[in-house]
Amino acid sequence: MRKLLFLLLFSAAIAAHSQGTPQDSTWIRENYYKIERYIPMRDGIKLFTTFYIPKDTTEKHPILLTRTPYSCAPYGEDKWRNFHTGYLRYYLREGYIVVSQDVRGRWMSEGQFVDVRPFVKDKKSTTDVDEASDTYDAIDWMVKNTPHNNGRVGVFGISYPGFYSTMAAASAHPALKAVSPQAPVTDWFMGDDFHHNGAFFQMDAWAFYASFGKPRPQPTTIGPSGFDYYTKDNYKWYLETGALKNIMKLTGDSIAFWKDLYAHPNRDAWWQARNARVAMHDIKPVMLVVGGLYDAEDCFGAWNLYKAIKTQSPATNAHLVMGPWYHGEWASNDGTHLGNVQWGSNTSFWYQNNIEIPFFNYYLKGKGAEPKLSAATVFFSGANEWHKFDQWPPAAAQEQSIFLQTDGTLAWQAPSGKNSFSEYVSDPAHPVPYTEDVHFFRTREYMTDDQRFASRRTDVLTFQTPVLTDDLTLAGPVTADLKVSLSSTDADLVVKVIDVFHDDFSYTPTGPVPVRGHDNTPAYPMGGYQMLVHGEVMRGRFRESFEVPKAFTPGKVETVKFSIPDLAHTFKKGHRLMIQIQSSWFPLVDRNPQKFVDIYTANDSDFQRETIRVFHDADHPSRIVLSVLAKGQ
Amino acid sequence: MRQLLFCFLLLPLLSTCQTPAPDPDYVKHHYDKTEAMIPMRDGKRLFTAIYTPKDHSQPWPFLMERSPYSSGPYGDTLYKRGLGPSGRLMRGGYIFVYQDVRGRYMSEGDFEEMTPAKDHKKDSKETDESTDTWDTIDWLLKNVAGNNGRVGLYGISYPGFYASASLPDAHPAIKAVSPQAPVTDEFIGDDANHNGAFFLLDNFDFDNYFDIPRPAPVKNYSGNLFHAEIRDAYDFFLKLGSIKNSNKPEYFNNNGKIWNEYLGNSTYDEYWRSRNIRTHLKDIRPAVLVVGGWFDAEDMFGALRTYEAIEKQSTPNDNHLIMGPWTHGAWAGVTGRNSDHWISSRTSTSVIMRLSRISSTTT
Repeated sequence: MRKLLFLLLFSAAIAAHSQGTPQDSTWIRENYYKIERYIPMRDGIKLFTTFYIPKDTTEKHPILLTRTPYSCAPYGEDKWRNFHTGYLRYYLREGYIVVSQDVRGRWMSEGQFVDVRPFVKDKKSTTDVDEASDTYDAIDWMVKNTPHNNGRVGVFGISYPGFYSTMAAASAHPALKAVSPQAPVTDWFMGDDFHHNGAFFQMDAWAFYASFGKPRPQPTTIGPSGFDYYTKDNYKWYLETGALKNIMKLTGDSIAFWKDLYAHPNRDAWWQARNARVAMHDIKPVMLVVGGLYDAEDCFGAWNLYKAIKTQSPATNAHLVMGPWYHGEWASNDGTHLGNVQWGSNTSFWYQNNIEIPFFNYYLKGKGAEPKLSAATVFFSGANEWHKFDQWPPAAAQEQSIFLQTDGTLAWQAPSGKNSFSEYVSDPAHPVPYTEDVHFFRTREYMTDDQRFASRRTDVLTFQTPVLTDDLTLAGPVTADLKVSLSSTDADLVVKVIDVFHDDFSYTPTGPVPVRGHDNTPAYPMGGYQMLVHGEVMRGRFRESFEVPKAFTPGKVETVKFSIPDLAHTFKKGHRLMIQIQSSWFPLVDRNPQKFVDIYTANDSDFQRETIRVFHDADHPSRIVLSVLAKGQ
Repeated sequence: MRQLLFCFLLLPLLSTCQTPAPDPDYVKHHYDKTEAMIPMRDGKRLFTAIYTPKDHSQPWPFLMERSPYSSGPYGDTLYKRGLGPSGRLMRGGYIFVYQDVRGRYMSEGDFEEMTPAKDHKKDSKETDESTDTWDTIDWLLKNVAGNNGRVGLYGISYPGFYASASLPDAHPAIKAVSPQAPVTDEFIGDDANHNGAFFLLDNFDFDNYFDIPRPAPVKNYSGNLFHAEIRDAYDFFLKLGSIKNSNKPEYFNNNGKIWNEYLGNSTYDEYWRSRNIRTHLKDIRPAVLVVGGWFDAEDMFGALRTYEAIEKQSTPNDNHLIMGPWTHGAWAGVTGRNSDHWISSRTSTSVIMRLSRISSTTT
């Protein structure tokens, strides 16, 4: 009863706080003014910048800056952003000078845009510019020219603006005190957005670049147009469009970065220069890295940017927050669930009020006590609890392997038999869908989707533990270490970590468990739900090196070892841990032709079926290496 | 454009069928109910509920449904909430008759799955559904006052079979019969098997309820043969494994008579052949209105093939087919989609014409 009361009060509080009100809108207009300025960079290029400045001159105000390729619209000093609908209005109430800047070459800024522009460590002249130098020059101009600023600047941004936040941190401008890269684009070959372990995330890439990648010859307030698809079923569109070279034909050579993607199939010097982590040395501002455990786009970037800062710049005051969020959800008004899975509270609201706002208030305004932020504040799905750690992965987490077994189970002991394997036929003409439903744009919810549809396919292997007699909590990295043989020369391997709910599971507190039948469609049947906790793909050719791909020898058992982004999840007592293995994840990931050819120039005729064997015997034990925080007996 | 116009013309028709019965006790207010145990030629008696219009101004036709699913509620003072296949027919002036078939609910005798039809010999005491229907009608004509000597039969699904089974050697008073989604051949295309493939999910669920032994007449069958919690049918039946596992103690445990007949007759043998009513649909005299649904998961085959069998085997005939975009029995829903209303109305009109001899220039 007390718990219920608490929930009710909490919900009421959320409702009261998360609704933007007309009063906020009026208040902002009455207490702020907006100006637009071109800020000159060291090479003479000018970047378009909008300022929302408090009218209050009784005190000096900090600057909160976001640099973006997505426009600082609306343009015009009489046209204002709708701050009042989101939590950013709290920064206005606190008197921040809120600044947005179009990055070099986008929208109204001058210059040439370069995607994830490489960081230049040793700048030799005023023409040696990068995003760090642009941020430095912008901050320098702002603290000198913005009325009543207090000389303290914070930078934050989500996704691509998260990348610009990372680069801001590398600018080393002394006025920059606090930076929050959120879902920061960090490494587009290893795990963010467009590739995971070298496998091409064609759907996200094409959806993005078919519009974002169009040329912008002159500064403009008009955005690029989209692409006209002939169907709203993306599985059908990508399957029928076929080999990647056919997608290239749709654009001609108009999209520069699309051509770059095709020209760099391996992790060459070009990609290595576009790894934002290389800039993370001797970082001076306090850092707050934020990411979503269920972010389909830049979950990798959040975990790994933080780890790079801790490793490469150990003196930096750096903090990590990972919540159960889709891409950017922490900045939204609702962080209660994703798809069918519930988190038990409004995690976004909690983050905004307990982490981010106190963080900037202290470091930019000197307001309040120093926020005692732990090194890592991490939400554990399954348990639905926030936990704080003084390091990540937690010191108490133990690396433990769970092994695939002949009978389809998972066990903590290595298998003992001889020549034992499971096999399936992977057919590029019938790839495994990444989600069950029919839709066009990649869903956010696939990250927690029920995997029962996949369990029922003959080209998906399923292994699971017995029913757990104690909670099993994982905290930290996951490594798949598979012993496989192929009938051909290349394959993708997708490993999915799944939480199997017990058969009586229901979010409905009372009454019968919903059962579907005939025409009635009650709530989704959660009993026996196979919740994707995290999945990851590995392009087999990169198993020894991402720089130098290597063909498989047909029939030979080889090791394919790859990392899956960190997990923070509790498999509750009564649940099971399940691992699924498959060789396509379509159209999320482009299809591997299953032949060792350059995939970006491969022909439709190169795509072929193959048989994949995953071994589970004493000589070839396939295993998943987990970071176990608690597992009972 | 013509299509649009057609839709507009239909509107008045729709509005008449959509009018809900304003009186929840309409049946009680407009009909008298009696219950009778009607004797068959072999001495067994079948439980029958007879609802006669309070309006005695003219004689009325009989409209009868014979069913294995109960003709309840039982008792002279308890009335059905609605009568006949549609509200329109309920208000149309019929003597509605509901009968528990042999061996089900309150009727005597032993139930047999899809009673095989027999070639009838006069003076024989042998029975099948045709003779049971004949004997029932014979009794009704003699014992129910105010009838006009004409009888119609209808039924959906299993009752559709009993409607079909009344057709061979039909009593001469039977003028119109409407088998709707009639169970017709359970090895080739209806319910239990399609082309010999066993419809596990439907059969398992149906026989768990339908196959409860009934040693003596009852008003209610109690529960099911066994309790199986099936939330994910794919998972449940995959784990069940071989079909013989269905007779494990926790499931049928060899208590299902029909279940064991199904499992014991895995080819199109005499068991199934004798239950194919099509072979007997010859020299059919009553007018026939076969109704089926294109999206009926259970007896679409039966509708199409019953119509076809009569067309091919019975010349001349007065045989009609209506197929709509329906699930099993959806045409009879009073709150269904518009197409349901449309066909209910058409069906009603047709039956009214056959049984009441209303002359009309349209059919």
